[in-house]
Amino acid sequence: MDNNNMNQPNQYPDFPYAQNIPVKKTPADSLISMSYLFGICAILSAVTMTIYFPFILGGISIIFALLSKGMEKNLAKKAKIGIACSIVGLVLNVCIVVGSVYTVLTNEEMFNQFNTMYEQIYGESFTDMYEDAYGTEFPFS
Amino acid sequence: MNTYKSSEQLKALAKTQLFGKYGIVVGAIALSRLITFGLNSFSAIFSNTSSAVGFFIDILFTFFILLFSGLLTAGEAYVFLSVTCGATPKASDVFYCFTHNPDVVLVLQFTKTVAQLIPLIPAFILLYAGLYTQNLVWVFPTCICTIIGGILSIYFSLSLSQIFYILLDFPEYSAKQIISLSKTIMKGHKFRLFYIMVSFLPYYFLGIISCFVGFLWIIPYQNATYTNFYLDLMRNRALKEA
Repeated sequence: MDNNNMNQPNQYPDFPYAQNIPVKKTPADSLISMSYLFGICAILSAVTMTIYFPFILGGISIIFALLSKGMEKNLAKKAKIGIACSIVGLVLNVCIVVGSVYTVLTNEEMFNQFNTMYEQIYGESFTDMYEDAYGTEFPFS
Repeated sequence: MNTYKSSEQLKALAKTQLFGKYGIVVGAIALSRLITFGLNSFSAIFSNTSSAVGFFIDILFTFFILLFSGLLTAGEAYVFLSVTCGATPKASDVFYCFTHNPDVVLVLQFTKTVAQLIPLIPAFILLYAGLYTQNLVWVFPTCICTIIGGILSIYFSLSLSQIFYILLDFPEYSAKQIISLSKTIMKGHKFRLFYIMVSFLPYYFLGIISCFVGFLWIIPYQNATYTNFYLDLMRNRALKEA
């Protein structure tokens, strides 16, 4: 199937710039565009450290790109860019999350700040909560 | 001559058929799954598995929800048969089987649920015995029974996988005829369907990564592929008979 209508007879055969006439959008094009858009949004949301959004946007972007393939042999160029952007966004997000957790657990000053914030929100510090729940001291404190 | 479509061909066909219809099918799936999720949540709130009676009441309630969800599953089959045959259904068509042959749907769903659950009964009993006695001796037999029961359950589930499509195609058939036809057409094709099911695992991974939002598009794609599988079986059956 030709999702991009490339093999359709030209509507204006005598028009000298016929090849520049925009082709009609197909439903596959909207999936490809959404994949491209969500892929870029995944990177942007990873950079802004929103944690959940890069996972949601990146995952959906890859799904849209794969669904846009239809009966074509290869993915459209924009869909491939969408997948690449999503993977970059997802990897970046995982690195940011792992890096943040590692920094908080290894840096005493950061851990104290985290404990203070936790106490302000939940009324009990994180280490106290851990000790209450598991009966042992928090290993990284 | 083998004229059956491959897994890739069926999936490509499903993707193409769904172009421009995602709004409708996503709405239908969301509607159906939200109702089932609501009922399951209601059951989970009031379930009490701390006693043997509570445990079995919980299983019984889950069984009734499964039975009711059959009406919605058959409705989903109707929506996807419409899509794969080129028609444009409505999201509310998931309720189609509430007014068309609901008695047959309930009998079929009952048969399918019983066929899926019976092989797992020994595992349930051993699991409860293990939980009740708090003894690790029960772990190994429970695992063995779960594996064997799981394999048998998948086998029966594959045999009866086409019942709702057959019901919608042949509304004049009785439940017995439908079950018999489903077993007949699935003979020699169970592994093909199992392979198609397993081939969706990478999509499930993407669905989980996207915090389950992606399943709104994955489930329609999966269901459209299963519907194409059914249509492919019936087309080849007709070719053989001709």
